[in-house]
Amino acid sequence: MKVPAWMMFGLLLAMLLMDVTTIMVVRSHMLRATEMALDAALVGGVNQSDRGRGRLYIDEGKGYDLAYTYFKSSLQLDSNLENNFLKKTRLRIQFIQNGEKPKVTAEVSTVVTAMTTKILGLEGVPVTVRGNRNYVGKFK
Amino acid sequence: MSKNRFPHIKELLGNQAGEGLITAFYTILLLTMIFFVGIDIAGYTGTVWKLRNACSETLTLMKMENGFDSSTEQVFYQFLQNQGLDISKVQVSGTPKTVQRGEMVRIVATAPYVLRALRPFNLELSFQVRVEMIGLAQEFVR
Repeated sequence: MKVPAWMMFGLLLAMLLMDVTTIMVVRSHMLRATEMALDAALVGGVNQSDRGRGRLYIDEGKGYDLAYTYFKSSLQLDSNLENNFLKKTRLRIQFIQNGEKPKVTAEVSTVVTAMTTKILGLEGVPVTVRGNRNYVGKFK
Repeated sequence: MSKNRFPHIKELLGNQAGEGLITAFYTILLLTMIFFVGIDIAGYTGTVWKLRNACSETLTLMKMENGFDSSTEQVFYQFLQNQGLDISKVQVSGTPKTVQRGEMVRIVATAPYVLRALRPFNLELSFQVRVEMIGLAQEFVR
């Protein structure tokens, strides 16, 4: 009777360890994708001819579109921003114009599918990653 | 007859006078091991943290200058030196200048980490700490 109980305990422990590792790896990938999305938002949103005239304004629509494209391809997500591990992913990007010091902030929230949560009948583990980026270009 | 043959051994086996000393010895051994493992975890985390900081700062510069060259390399090593890391064994490489705006720039830095726990045994075991970061070039090149 004791041996199956220990085996079950060991199995649960192994599953928990695998889930923790998965979440850590997924979070690290999400951080990298968020950084890329922030860079892309600035590349897509800042108009070069405006910059040449000493003005800095971020086009929010273009910035978001490019950030979305890079974010999606970085994490290999489908059109619903989902893959085998990530469900219900949301990318929120906020542009703060602030005169000549524009800033972009990003918040990514997702649900990571895990084995232990499946056993408990839950959807997954919610993970949120945040980042921000100031524009660091040079006026020529 | 045989019971009275080795009376001293019987007395010795029944004696528990050294038990505390042996327990103390094993406790010290265990605590020393935990201490050395703790030192190595802290040392490894510190090395990764310093490399990540230097890579992050250099990557910001690379995004502004659209790539990596010898001057960027100098900035990286200077930053690491200020952080207190031995730069003689640190290697760094990056996307060479000049890439166009929106293209990817990458920096990769490696540094050896020598396990301190094995030094008292006159053994040297080291492994590579690797940090890689990517970003997008921001400047438009005419």
